[in-house]
Amino acid sequence: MTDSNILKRVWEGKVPACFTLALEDLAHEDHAPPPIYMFLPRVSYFPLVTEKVIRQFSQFSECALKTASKDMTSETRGKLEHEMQYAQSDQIDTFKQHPLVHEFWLEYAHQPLKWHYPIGLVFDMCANTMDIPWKITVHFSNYPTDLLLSPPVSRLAVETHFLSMIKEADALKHRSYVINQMQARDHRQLWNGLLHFRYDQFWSINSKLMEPLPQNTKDLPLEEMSASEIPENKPLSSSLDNISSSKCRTFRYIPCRLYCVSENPSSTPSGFIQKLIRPLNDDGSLTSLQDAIEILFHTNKNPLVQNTEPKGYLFFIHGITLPHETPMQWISEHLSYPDNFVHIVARPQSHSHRIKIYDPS
Amino acid sequence: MAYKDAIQILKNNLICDCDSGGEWFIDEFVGYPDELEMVYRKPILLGESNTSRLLTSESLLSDEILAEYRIVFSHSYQVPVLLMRFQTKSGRSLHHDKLWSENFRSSVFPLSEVPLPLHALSEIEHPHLGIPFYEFHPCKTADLMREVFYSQPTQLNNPVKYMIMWLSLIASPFGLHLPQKSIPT
Repeated sequence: MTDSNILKRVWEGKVPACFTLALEDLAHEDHAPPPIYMFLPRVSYFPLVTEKVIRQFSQFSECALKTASKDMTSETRGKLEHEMQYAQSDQIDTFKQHPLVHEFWLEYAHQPLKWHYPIGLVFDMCANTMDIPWKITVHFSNYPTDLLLSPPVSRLAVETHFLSMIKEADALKHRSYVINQMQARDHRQLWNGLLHFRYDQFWSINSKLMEPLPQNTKDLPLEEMSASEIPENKPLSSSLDNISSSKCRTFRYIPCRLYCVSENPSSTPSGFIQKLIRPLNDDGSLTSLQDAIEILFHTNKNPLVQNTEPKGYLFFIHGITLPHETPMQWISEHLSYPDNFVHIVARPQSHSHRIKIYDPS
Repeated sequence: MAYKDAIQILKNNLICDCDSGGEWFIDEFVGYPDELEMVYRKPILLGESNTSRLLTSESLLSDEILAEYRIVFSHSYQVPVLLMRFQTKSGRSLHHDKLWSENFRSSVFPLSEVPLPLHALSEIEHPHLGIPFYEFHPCKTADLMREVFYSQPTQLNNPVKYMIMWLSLIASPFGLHLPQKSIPT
């Protein structure tokens, strides 16, 4: 499999899901909408792919019907008017009739799903693959403000978060140089490529963000580099063999976050671990996935992990485990999400029912 | 490492000079000894002119509002970041409350102060706590601080002076004020 095939397979990853409307949100108990089954793209976000589900279910929701008759506050109206710039013509009526289409929230096994996380990341964190499809409940009332980012839950909110993540990733990789050099239309093309799920549109811009630093200048401050020193239009030529060479080109740091799944599903909310991961070890060898995991766990000081190696966990990226010697530079170029972060999920082995593609032990 | 030392020094000074009702402390996270955060919590003193409007929201009746400020270090941008959270005394977040959001600037920042543009704030998830906070986005902070220290570049590398300047420029417009006595000369 070539590297570009891997990019395409990651992009096209899907999760089967079944959406049902919460009982407490039914306007009439004897008039429930049928469940809606969908394949969800792993690399996208719930608000972008569930618009039809939300519109359909809102018509059966008592809360939505009540709210539609109330006066909207000026701020809500202002936000909705701003949203309409992004809405297709057939959705304008939805905004007027059902403002709660932007205050929905999703739940699986009594846990609210974070809509600002990519879908594949949320699935890897909470889903049990013995119980397919992924059963998601749609709610319109009692939005959990202490756990989820505030409404409106919308395309614009996702776009804001998504571009912020890409900017942070490039701050790590190129000290923000590449993202700052881009035109505004390039940012729009990244977003539209994700929004409309167009691989070529997205990757024609994203390939610039995945270009390693020039080899001969990687130790120089970026401010001293002239524009001509930045390679242009270079094809994605990296392969595992090339990366293994002693003089490979790398990012400055690897954008990487680790999400630990608790063995106790009712534990308090938690976020993620993020540390500076250099693509090269001190001895000049490529930093491996195993090296990165040890840095992220900080095992010499972390009382939560008993042994020198986090043996009790399996580590998933895009739903698969990887050989632990895989270089992080390669993973960052090929297995990042569109926000340019490598999102790694650590699941307790006792909670992982997946067939192991690769057994690290 | 310099950041950790700086907030320890600052915290010791700030605790002595704390105004009534507010408290400074350093938050540590179990298992992550490097991730220290300086935290300041205080009740919000609502201005007279705002009382009548806020009272129209049922959720705010007879409930005090607590502000929590956190100063975290961004490894990505290599600068401190200001996080803010507002909630009732019973612990309910106010980020979703529309009336609160509408009065956000006038409630927290007296009218005499120059408000920062709204786009300076965004809502993010706290990395360790996993709950929503307002954030002043850090992507321009490094450039701003270099400009401020242009005439005295050596102070850019003094962590305590850096943090005092950062607090004055970025935190105080959002209601996190340094007591004057806390500033070592």
